[in-house]
Amino acid sequence: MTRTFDVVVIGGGHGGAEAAWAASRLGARTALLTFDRAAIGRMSCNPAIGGIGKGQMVREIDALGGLMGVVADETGIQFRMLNRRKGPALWAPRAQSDRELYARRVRERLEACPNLAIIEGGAETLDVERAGPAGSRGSPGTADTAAAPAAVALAERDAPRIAGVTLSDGRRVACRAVVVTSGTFLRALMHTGEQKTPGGRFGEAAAVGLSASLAQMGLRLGRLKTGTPPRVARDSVNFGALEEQPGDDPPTPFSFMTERLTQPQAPCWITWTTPETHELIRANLHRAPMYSGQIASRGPRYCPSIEDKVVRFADKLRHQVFLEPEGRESERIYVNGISTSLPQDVQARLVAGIAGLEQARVLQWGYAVEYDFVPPDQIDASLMTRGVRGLFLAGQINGTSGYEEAAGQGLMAGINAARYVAGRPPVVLGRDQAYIGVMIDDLVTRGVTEPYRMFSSRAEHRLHLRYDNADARLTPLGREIGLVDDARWARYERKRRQLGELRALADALRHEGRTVREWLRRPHEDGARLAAALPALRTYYAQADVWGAMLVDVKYAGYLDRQARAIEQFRELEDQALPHDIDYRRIPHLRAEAVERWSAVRPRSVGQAARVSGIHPTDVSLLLVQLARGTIG
Amino acid sequence: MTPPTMGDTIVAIATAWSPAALGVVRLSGPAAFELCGSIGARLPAPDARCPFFGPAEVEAAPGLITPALVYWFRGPASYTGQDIVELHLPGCLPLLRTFADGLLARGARRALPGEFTARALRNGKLRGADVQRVFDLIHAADAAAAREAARTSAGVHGDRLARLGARLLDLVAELEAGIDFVDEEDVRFVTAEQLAGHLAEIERELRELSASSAARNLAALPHVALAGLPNAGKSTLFNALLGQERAIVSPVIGTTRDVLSAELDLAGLRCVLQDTAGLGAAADELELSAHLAAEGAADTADLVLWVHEAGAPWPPAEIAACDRIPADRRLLVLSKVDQCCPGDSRQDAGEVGFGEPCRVSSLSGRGMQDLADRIRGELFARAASRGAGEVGLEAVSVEIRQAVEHVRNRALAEPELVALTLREAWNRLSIANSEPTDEQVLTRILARFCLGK
Repeated sequence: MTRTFDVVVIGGGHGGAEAAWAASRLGARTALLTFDRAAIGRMSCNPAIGGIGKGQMVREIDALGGLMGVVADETGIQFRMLNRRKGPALWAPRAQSDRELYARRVRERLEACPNLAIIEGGAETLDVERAGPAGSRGSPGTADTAAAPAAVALAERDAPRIAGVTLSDGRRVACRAVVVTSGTFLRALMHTGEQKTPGGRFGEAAAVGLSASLAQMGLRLGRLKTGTPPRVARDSVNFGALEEQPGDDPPTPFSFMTERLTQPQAPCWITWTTPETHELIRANLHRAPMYSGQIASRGPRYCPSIEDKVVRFADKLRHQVFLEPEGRESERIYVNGISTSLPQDVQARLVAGIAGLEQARVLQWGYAVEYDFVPPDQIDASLMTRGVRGLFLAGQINGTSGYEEAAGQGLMAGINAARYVAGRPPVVLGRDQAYIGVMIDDLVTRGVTEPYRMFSSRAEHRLHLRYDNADARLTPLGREIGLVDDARWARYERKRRQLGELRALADALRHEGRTVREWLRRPHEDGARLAAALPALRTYYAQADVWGAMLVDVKYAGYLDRQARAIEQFRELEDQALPHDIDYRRIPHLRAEAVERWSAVRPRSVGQAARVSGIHPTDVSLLLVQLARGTIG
Repeated sequence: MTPPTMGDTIVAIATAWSPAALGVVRLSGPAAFELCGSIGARLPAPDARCPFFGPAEVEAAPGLITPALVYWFRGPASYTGQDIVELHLPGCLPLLRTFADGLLARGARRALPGEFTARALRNGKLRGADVQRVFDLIHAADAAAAREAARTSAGVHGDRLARLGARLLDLVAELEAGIDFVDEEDVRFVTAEQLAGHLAEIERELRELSASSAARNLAALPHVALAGLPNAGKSTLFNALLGQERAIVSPVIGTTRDVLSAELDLAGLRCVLQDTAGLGAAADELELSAHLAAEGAADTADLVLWVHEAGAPWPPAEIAACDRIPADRRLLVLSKVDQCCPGDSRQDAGEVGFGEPCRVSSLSGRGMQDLADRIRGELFARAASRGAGEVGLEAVSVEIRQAVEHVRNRALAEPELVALTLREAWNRLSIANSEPTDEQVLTRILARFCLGK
């Protein structure tokens, strides 16, 4: 018997988990399709969440009502706030996680979702149908196409749309939307030296049929590569020789819902490669798949293999290596910094050449993995493919890298899939609203040439997209969408109210002839003295988030105004929507390159059009005149 | 790129080419009045409804006080529908530039080609029938600006500017590396002292560049290029137009080895006359030579004089090359008319269809006055469509000075604030640069540092 759902999420990684969580909580009958229930929420690579740019994204996912922040807080074994000594816009949380526990907690949360079924199996084909006569099965998406010109409405009605998923064992589920979060599994091939093994992750299978099915639907596929280092046994490491890296005291949580982190913190360790290990690598480069020609696809430049580091920075005598425990009790240690696809015998000698690892037992060898992705110029900002209605893509399939990037997209894809099924317009975050918005805009506007990772420098409104204000930026939206529950909303409202009171007090209260605000403006003034002297401040001072937000206000004062003006200008162009069916060839004098780029990207606003690569300001001027022509007839 | 938002206040030099005694610097946007007030122009009364003008003494740069007539137009009853100010100043290009730069440094944005008119259109100040004219205007102004940019970047000035831009971006990359790549260690890739030192150097060079304006002014003048087949008489014509023996004129094909340029004064209209290189063409390279000459001239010149020897045959390669130059920027000159019968030349001009030619003899001077008048007329027709010219270096300088001051006072406690200012400065320097800043920064970081795990 065919089971029927609204939304089917394919893949249970960090993107799939958020998508399934969001779609089911928004009321869509949702199925999560995964090879292996136990692999839900599994970390393929390093056992850590967050980092610069990424940590802010986790905070945003949390502010919208997603999973990642809460689970990271529950399962973290070491927390650090990066860039703490720089300005608050750069503060970024990062945590070492208990890998097993993290996966289990994600799975438990999904299993408890009332609208969510977890199905074990592999997706073989996506089934589509040509749209029948209107009304035959409701008319999804009418809300956002109502205003679109007739020609487009027609074209969109003509486009095939998702009808279901057929599994490799022949089972079939019917649905109206699919979110594909295939990670590194599409036609995946792992390389360790000359040895090639089909599979998306150590010990797991590849998804072959799904790749073919996507291609058959007319989607263009590309190929990317990523890699992972060896893991060693904890009891075989000589920690005595190594520098210890402790966590923060006190630790700062990811989630706005976490009052305080109470778990004890575990250390990591720092060690180094040696000139001898570099010599070993150089002597064996002909056996490294990236150098022998066995792998041709592009890997991330910012996440180089140890082979790359040694070749590209030949003058460096040593490279830093971090030993990260995969859990509080775990016997596995992740050797961060030596991602490699060298053959096992070379890896063995490479590991043994590192201080503290002389006797180390390798539990899992490093490997490179090649996988298919769908170049993201084929999706729109709601993460739905342009060619197939109801097909959403999130995570590595869109050419990104990283758990946080995948989770951010997964959350938005889940939200938009549920809204699509309900006939509601999609939610698109702006570049001025969230790192998640910056990421998705980059993907659909520029495409990718290597796995895309978030950096804070990608956000032009970086001063505004901060760790501390993610809730102010996104929680009201999350509430409107329906993902923010009453508890989170109450907490948000309370913080907002208190911050308002504190801001008023900061101007009203005086101490030794100056207002509190004036005192706080002075460099290195954190307000401890003021709180001691002025009892009215004490409640607020005791709450790190409220007091912190106030400090940011004051310290960044002039710059935040400047950023606000920049955002206002950004909005002016962003809010000018472009019709879907605009014929760029008909704009007089528009350069051929602009016609070609815009026809391919199909920007949804003048602002996005301006960001497309190769576009000149004059092209935008001509576009604006064309729009004005429309309004004055 | 800087996209054209309406909320900015834009500034342009409105009449840079004209030989008139007055030059105009025009502003449009919400801060137009305030900006002009900041350089000393008296503001109109808040309730003044009609256009208003008054004499004033305005100060664009410290110590540079100039008499001006200031015209105020309060929006929406103005050309663009926004507040507009026009400063009528002595018609001296360096002076006009200094004023435009001063206003840029105070927060105005350089107008894009045709932007005043585009604003008028968007504010409903123009009729539908005018739309095509707006498209044409933007296109023409953009093409002129692009040619000016090409001339600037080809010159010494452009080289230095490009190098300064690259150095600035390198510093941004070092700052950003210290922000984005500290996942494990608190790395700082540039110290506050180093940064302040480098920035101060860049700023000093920018000011020098801004002051040594000879190169800039030449690039800003309209350019007239001579193009045609080798031995068509270009060099002779060049000299005849200048009225002096500047080029080595010789009957041997290919003696003009370099592009010769000279400033020409056509009854008050200044322009730069260029003789395209004789590209060492042997007979079999004729096609290539003609092609390259046409391409080169079309890229940088506002007007191309295609020189053809009267009565000589038109090889297909020459017709094709001449055809590459847009008709509205091409003027056919038939040379050596003394050496052939008039009937022939009328015929060949008619046959190839390149418009009404000018017939000249450089040796006898016949037709030369007529040619000068035609050039002048063509350039005048284009002067109206010009934008503000180049980058406001003064504005970039101000931003970098701010950054230096910030670093000297507060070191790198908040590198994000320094980066913000420097990225704004860099964006200003590279308005047409199409690769996104963050990608360029990332590429620089990863090329220089061994980062990532």
